[in-house]
Amino acid sequence: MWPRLRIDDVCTIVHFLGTMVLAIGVVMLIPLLVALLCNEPEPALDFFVGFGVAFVAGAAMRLVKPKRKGLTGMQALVITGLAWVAAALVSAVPFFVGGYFDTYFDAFFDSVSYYTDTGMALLQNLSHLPISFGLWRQIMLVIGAEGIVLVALGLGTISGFSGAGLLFEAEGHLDRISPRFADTSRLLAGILGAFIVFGTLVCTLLCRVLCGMSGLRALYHGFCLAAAAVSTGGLTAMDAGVGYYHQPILYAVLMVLMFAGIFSFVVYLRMAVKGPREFFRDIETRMILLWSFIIIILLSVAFAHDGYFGSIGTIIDKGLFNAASALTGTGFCSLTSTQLTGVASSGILFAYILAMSMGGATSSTAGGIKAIRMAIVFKSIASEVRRRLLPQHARSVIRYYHLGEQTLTDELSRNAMLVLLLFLVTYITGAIMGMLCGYSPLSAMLESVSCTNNCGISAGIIGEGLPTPLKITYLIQMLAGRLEFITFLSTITSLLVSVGRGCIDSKIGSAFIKRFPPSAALSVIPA
Amino acid sequence: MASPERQRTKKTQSGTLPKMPKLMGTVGWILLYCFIIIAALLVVVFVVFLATPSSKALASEAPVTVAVTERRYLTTELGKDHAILPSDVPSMRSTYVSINRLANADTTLDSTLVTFRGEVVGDVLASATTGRRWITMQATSGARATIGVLMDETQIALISYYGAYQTKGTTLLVTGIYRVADDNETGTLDVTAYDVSVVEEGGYHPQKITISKLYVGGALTFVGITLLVVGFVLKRRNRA
Repeated sequence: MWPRLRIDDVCTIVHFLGTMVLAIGVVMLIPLLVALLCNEPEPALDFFVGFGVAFVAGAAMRLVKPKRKGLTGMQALVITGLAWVAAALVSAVPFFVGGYFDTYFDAFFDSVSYYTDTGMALLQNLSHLPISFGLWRQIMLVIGAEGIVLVALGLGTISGFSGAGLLFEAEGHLDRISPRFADTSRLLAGILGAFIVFGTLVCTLLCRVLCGMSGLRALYHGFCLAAAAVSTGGLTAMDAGVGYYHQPILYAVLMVLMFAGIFSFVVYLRMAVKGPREFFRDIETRMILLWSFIIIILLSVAFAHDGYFGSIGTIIDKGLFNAASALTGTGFCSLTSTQLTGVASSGILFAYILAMSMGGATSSTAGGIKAIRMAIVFKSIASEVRRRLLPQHARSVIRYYHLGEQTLTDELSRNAMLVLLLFLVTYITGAIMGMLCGYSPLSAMLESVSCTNNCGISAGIIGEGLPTPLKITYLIQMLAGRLEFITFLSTITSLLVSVGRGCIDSKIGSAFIKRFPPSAALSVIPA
Repeated sequence: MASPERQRTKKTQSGTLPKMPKLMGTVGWILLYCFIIIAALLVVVFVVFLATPSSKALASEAPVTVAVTERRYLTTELGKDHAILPSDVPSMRSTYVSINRLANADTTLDSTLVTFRGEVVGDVLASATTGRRWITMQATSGARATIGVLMDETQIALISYYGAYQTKGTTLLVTGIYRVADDNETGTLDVTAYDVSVVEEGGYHPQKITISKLYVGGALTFVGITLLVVGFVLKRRNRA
């Protein structure tokens, strides 16, 4: 029997969601302030309305008081799943009020894309976008990179309740740094913030000195690039994407920042204490480096055999940078989507699909299947082969190093294989939907893998004129990929079961079943 | 409940935690973050206002004298299918296209002379490989695609405004060589401009303020504050 949500559970969930919505409203004051400073009065009003909506919704939801002071596992899963949806719903208000989208659903789609660090946007005409809105997009990327629930834990907005650990794990964070989750959140935020600040300084300097931008524009572009690179979100300030800048040195710096975001932040802390050997000993680091090496070889071969992109300079500038972007799930692409689909060979496209498929480490800003799961899958295969080769009475134990010595168990293997299977099914489902809407198989597969892994490299499908069925499909894929499938499926299942059982148990439902019992349907069938 | 000492050395699902420095209280964290933010701001001020661009990037900031006769305004009406060329385009055969078509990486036009018009947006950027500079031009209708155009200093001097929020950039008519993957610029899709003329100057267009948004936002904020106060009062009553 499937558990369903009771009134107590609903009260707790609504209260927690209200707190998070209120927090998002407060964060919205940052772009409001920037809009006033940058002489953007109309965008300031848009954010004022957005703040008002979040304030009212959050305050109203907080009036619903939970009956108990603890969280159950089911409540934690549903809160985590719905927190992302609620945050995207309120964050979309300024965009819709400002008239940047025709429908609210489009604004919601973009907000989900920013929070999940996918970076695929329906928003057009970025060249004329106010600075405050550009900043708001980057803020959403950074919040999503750490995790909405983790940010709420770190800010102390969720306090006085037991069950913080359940929320922590429900959002897909597997590694703790400190026994206190608030401290873990603040440490992770500190590392993320340090990378972004350092990246902003370097990118601002390069935009000013090499590109020749004016001071404040260099700062704005520098921040956008650094935030997008470290959070592996890939949003840029201009329509041309990262290809706008035309500076290989800048691309090299972005590659460093992207890779900084893909490794585990917990490993960074352990490296600070125990030395660099801790970094290279970790199985996730080794998996990422091995996968990167394979992809770089594949892409270099694919580029070398391409008629248009075969020169050494192009292989290094376009091939290496785009490979790093795909591997880290950032989504920067110095090739346009039309070059990717119309000019580049299918080998390059296929290599990008492979590059995007793995993702980064746990406790990093990257999405995807995660390096630890891929490593466990390969270890499991090796373990099975070894077991078959050894005598029957022999006992085989596989060990690996991940934040300490770990032993490979059947449960770990099963979980990793399950998530891998869910990702593969999602890739194929998204690709089929794309093909049904009239797109080519390779483009549809690239877009599907990119959305599920929250990467952002696009074949040009997501943009103006995207069919609504595909919008819904990609929306679900982005959320499922970011929320770790189990949380997403648990949220959906709880809601469906609760609504369904609620309908059946209600007065109207009971009367309906009494009038038309299920057994009556069977009597229609002739003997 | 475990004591703080036991908590610091407690084994977790990630293995034994390394010996970490004593974690600060909330005030300590706030002070640390404030210090980091202030230090970063000081460095940013230095970089933004004191660091100087390279001489190559500064080239356009030096005053350039441009012959007024180079500034031409389009007088010929372009046909609906853009097949009619303006009368002052060089005699070499050029294809009139839209930027949207160029941005679609049309290989049939690769390494041919094209003519297009669009709005200048963004910034003037230095090229890493050639002596020219990059301009980004955006289509004025349809998909609003953008394309990078390489220009020299005399051509750039024709541009009065760069498109941004509340600013319409100068609209140019450009004739140049289109490349789907320019080997000189590491495979970038671009146009190297040969002939540039101004169609429309552009200018600053402040956005109208919608005052009703202020009233809506104010009303919502007032309602939100009321709800928060109600919640606070109910909580105090329940405790009492």
